[in-house]
Amino acid sequence: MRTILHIDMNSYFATIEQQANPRLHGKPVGVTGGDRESRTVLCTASVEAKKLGVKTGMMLWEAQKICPSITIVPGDSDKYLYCTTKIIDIFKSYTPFLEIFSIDEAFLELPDADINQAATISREIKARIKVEIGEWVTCSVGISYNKLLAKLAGGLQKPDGLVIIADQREALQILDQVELDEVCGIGPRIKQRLLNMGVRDFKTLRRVPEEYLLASFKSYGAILYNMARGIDETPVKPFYLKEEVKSVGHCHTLDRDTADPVDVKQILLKLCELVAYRLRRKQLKGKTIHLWYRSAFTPETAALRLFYDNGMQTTLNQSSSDGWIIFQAAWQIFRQIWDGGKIRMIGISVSGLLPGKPANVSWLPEDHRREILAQTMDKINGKFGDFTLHRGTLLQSVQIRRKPNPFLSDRRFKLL
Amino acid sequence: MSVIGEPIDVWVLFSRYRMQPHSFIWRHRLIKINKINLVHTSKDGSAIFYHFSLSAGNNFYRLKFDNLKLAWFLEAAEEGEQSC
Repeated sequence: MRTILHIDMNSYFATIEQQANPRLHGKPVGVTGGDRESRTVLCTASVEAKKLGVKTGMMLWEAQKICPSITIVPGDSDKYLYCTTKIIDIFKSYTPFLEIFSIDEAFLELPDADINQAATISREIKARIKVEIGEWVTCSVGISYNKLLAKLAGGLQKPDGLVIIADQREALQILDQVELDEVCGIGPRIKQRLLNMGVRDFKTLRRVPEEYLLASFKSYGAILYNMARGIDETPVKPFYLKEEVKSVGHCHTLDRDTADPVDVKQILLKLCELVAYRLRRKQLKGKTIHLWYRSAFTPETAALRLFYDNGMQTTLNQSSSDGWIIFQAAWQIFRQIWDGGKIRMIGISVSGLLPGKPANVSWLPEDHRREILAQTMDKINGKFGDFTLHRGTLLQSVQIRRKPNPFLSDRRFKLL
Repeated sequence: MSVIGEPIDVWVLFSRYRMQPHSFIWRHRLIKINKINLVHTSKDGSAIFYHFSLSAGNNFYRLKFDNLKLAWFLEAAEEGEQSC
């Protein structure tokens, strides 16, 4: 039987901020997303804030209404990534079978350990995190014989928990006590569909024939059938196996809503240059350009706090990693779909990725010049900082920095 | 917390692969550091910045060391009585 640990850092970003600044110890703290101080949501709430009803994903005003004493701290993604790198180094010292699930979660498979040895290792990991990262930083650990149950176990005791689900008998006991959506893989939509079928819990789900689940949920029905029985054969994906990059993208929340096409054009060009730089760094080119934007609140949507998003994609004749070519395609999409109203956020992503080398050689001198220019700019910006050298039109543009999302996406390789 | 961004003079102890700020002078005050709470790094081009989150008594400071300029800065500070 396998022995798998699921480790989940407790209220990670907020805990790191409390570790850095002891004046925040024991206080409700909310950390903003995107390293912003306004026009953003909470990406983490501290344990103290969560006890008072503050939830991840809340708008700042909502969190402050529920908890007027909350301290809002702007996110600092460099800090969290650095700490994650150190934490992963701790994990790597125990096993090479380490799957980095997100910036604050990991699975470890311990092939040579039984449950008791895994519990000892878990306590050791917790102690090392306190010494090597900081005494305020804690994690919850779940131990079981597969990833599904290890993650479920980890979520049962927070913060600083250690829960073991040793065998299938215990697994069924625990599954029968939890809500359907407490298990990873059942979200609000699947839960609603199950409720509509009269399935309120895992005990009832076990009574549903597999054929019925397959007919209702297609291939996902087999996963639900196994879930109800605590069965999960998915392997721990080792960190050293790099996942294929499917797309590279960037989005930016504007400091002020704007309907000025000049402002939007500058920001979009900057985003395209950032995306292009990242493509070149990975030696990739892309063919499909997806542009989307989020409209600013109107009097009607503001009352309901509803965002309106619009987007479209186009395919280039030839794959590219040139910022200007990507921008031209993106700007064309924008002009087609934009209704002229104020914009709050804009994003661009490039997919249909292919290796950039070996490259098709272009006979056009301007293509060759653009390539040399891009390589030169990349070298200078790599040494002296992003946008040290940039197009003249970006002289007055806002600063845009890359921010990792909690699931790390393409920055995963930077941790390894 | 106040964002400062001022250059400062720092006494630093280098011991066993660690760089530990000991005390610093800010606006004519000598501030002795009691505890280094967290250290992290960031980059801008080839410059590496070392950020030290520190306590001095009940006050919080964050210092930054720029390895290219070999210079120290006070990034942020939070002093005085804490609000409840």
